Amino acid sequence: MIKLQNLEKAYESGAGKTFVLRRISMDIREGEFVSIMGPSGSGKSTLLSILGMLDGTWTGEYFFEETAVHKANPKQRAALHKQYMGFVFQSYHLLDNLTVQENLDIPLSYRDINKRERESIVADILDRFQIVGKKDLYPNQLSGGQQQLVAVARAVIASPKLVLADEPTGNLHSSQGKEIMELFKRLNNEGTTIIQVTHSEQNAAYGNRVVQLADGWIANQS
Amino acid sequence: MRNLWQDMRYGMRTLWKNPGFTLVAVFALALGIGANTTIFSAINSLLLHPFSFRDADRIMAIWESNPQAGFKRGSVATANFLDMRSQNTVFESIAAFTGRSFNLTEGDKPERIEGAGVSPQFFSALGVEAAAGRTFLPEEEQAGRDAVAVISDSLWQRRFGRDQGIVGRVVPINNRSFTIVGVMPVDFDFPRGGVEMWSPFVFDNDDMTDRASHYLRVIARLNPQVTMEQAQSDINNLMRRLAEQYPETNAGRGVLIETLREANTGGPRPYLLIALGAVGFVLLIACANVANLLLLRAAARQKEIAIRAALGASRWQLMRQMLTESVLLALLGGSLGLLLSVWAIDSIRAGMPPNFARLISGWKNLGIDWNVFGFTLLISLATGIIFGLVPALLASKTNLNEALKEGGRSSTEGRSRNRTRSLLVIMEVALSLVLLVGAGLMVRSFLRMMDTNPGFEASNVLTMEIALPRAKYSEDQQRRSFFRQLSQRIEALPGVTAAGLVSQIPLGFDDSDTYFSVEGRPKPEPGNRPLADFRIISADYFGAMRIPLRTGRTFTERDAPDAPPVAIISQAMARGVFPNEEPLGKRLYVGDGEQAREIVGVVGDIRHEPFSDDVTKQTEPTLYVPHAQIPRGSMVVVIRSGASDPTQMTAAVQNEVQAVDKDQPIYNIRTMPQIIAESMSPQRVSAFLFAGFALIALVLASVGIYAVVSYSVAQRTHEIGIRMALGAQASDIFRLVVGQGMKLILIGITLGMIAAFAVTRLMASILYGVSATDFVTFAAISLLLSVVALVACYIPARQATKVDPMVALRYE
Repeated sequence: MIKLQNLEKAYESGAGKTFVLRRISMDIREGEFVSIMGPSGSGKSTLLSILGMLDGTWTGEYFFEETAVHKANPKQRAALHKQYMGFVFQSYHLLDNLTVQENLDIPLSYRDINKRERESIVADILDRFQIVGKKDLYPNQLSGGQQQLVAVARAVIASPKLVLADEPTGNLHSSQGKEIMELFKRLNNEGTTIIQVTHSEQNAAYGNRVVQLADGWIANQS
Repeated sequence: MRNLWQDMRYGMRTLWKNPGFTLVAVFALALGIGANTTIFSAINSLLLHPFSFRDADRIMAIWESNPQAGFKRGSVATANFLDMRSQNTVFESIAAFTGRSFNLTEGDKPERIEGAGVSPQFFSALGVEAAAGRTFLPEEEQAGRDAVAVISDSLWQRRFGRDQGIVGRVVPINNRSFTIVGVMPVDFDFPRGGVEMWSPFVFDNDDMTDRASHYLRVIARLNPQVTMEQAQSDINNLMRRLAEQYPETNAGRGVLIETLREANTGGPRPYLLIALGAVGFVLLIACANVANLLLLRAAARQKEIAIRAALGASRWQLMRQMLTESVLLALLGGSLGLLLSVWAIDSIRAGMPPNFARLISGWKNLGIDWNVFGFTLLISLATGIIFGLVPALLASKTNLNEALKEGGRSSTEGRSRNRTRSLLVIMEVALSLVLLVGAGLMVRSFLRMMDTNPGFEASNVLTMEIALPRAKYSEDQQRRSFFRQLSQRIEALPGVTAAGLVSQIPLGFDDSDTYFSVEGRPKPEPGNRPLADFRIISADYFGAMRIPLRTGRTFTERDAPDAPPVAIISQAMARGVFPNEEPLGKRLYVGDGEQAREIVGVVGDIRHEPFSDDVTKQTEPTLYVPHAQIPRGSMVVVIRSGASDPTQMTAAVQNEVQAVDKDQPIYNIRTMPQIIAESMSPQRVSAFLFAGFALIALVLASVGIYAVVSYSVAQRTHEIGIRMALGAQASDIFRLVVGQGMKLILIGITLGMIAAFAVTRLMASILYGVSATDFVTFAAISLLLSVVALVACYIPARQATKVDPMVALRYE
């Protein structure tokens, strides 16, 4: 599904360059559950952003489903992102002004799906994630765990092949974190590829592969 | 469409959740859009649709012009009109009219009705028919068959209680029995507001050959296949033939054809176009202001925008969401603006004296109609896009990676946004300066006008008009006797210090010129004869108006009808016509008079032309002749009272008029200060409007400056903390913040000065006694704007000095 070849990212700093990622080469197959780990500043989140096509300023080769992302323009990258990916963030990033139901509808509304179909998809996902009772509440009326649950539901609502999660349990207490990780596991079992950034060995254990980063290099990958 | 609706719903909610921002933005937009709606409604009624006649653009006004004498739009001589009519091949109908008043003596109280004498095709040229009865038949312009009248709906209601038998009713008018043959539809009041009666204009034998007296207005409806150019060329040919045939009267004369709309909208046009420019500036300032607020808010919303992008929104979808919000804001602003505009239009209506307003075509239609509503809607949508576009473009370019970074600053500011905000503030300041300078010039011009010495003493003077009916006062002696008796009776009233008569009151809207030539000098070429203002007065007129006698004498009882003809001239005329000679004793031929008039006195100059006509016009040479020698039937009585409120005399004077002739009405009762105020109405309303617009601009600009400076302080809290930790004093921080704001303001003021210097020249035609580039105004306004801007910077700068370095350094 994903193939990276000598991918590098650097910032210009004074006379030289500061590398954030160096010679990253890796393959991720469809159906995998990969955890990217490493100390703070090792480049985990940057790598996740590049994989998720939120960042287009890097060098090297990146193939996604046979498409050469390194040759794609921003519009084509955005289209790939829209078609294949869902994102989950550490601090949920729900839109405060929208209800749960409307937050779930947002990705669909950007994908040219008609209203009736969208309503049915949203109803389905509310049911699947057991949050029907919360559909008219605003994010600030939910607990952190509930917000992240909605965020995961929103990430998968457009049936992405790949879900990217940046420290999805970082702001949750352990029982809520466990619930979310089990949800990811279930999604993975249903066929969704998952790549998460995590500090937690416990969370990494839900996946089947770990990529260790240190100072922008791959230190180890199982 | 579906998504648009959704964007609108989310937009509404976003606005609702940010009431402070929404309120400020909506109010700023309401001021901008409201000002534009107000001025557009005036343009719509007064310039675009002053008449509601059928195919109004095919109705032409025909003027006689005399390029050599410097006028393009002059009245038409009767014989010239008759030739135009008999040789017409290009018009469906052609008609002449002239102002006329009627004394309606039916009932308890005689009433003077304002009206017009019209030729039979008058109504068909305008494309209107009577609502009841008929208009005039061709044969009714013959003497003896002309005692017929068409009345207005208002007169039918007011005077005849909507009598269903009105058509055919015979009523006493001007001491003759007139048959009312028709009632016009409601609102028909052409040629000017307040006209309530029309009767046929009779061309007598003199009129058939008179090409020297120009007093007819001519209108015509173009044939459907004929263009205006063809009509102009056809009528030019006719005038050329007439000039060859009658060189004495027609040499040098041409004809100007224009649409009736153009002909009747010349007065308010420069004021409205300049006002339109001014409100355009107000709207731009409002747009810059709201764009700035949106940019500030976009910074706060960066995360939301990034999330939407991360969820798959394309740049266009992000922009659409933001543009929907700005258009919603603009529509809310537009709705409030429309309400403000209703209020503003009412204020303008109230501010314009009715006597003046009725002379402006379309004034009665001033208000909000569908055109105005459509304009407001359109301008609101356009405004929403204009102020929303730049913030939407910049916000949609957000750096997702940075914006979504965990624990990162909630907003990372791009340089381009800072630069755009600064540019917007500079623009606001520059535009405000132009508007403020414009307003300053208008106000100064108005003050100068009020300070102008008109050459007479206006206080304590009461005026009223009397028009004697020709049928009853056909003899010179009768008219002479009526006015002599009346003057004596009024002068005898307690409290009256002097009473005089004049044919046209100074600064009123009636004017009369005459040709003249000096006895013993070569006769000037036809078409090149000098003109002077011409007034018929009674002996006491100068005393009542306190116009000073410079040399010679005023008129006396000696200047009787059979005494040698005499004249008094103004100083301007004495200087112009007799530069190095003594004018007293010289003799003038006045008009077509065969007997020369001896100059017996020279009086001070006074201003005759209302300020609203042509502000730049200076006092013109004036020639006065005694009423006893030219006993006109229509005169203005001028009464100087000892009391400070001369209107208290009205009833007593009215009684004296009735005592001389119980059927004789008086009308247009006004004090002289009222007449002066009316003559300055456009300037007063313009100065008031401009000052209002400039005030709005000043408020918006200072809000804009305040918002940008205080946002920048909030953004720089960390930096300020470091500076303070490193030893900066409060005064250093204060200077830092104020300096940053004032830099923008000074750039804005400089650009504004350059723009104002260029733009205010367009106002030169409506300024009185002040130059369009008046240094004092420019300097005072720049100072005012700097002080206001300084205050707007002062508040955030004070806050900046209160930053606690320990807190600021922990600040994220």
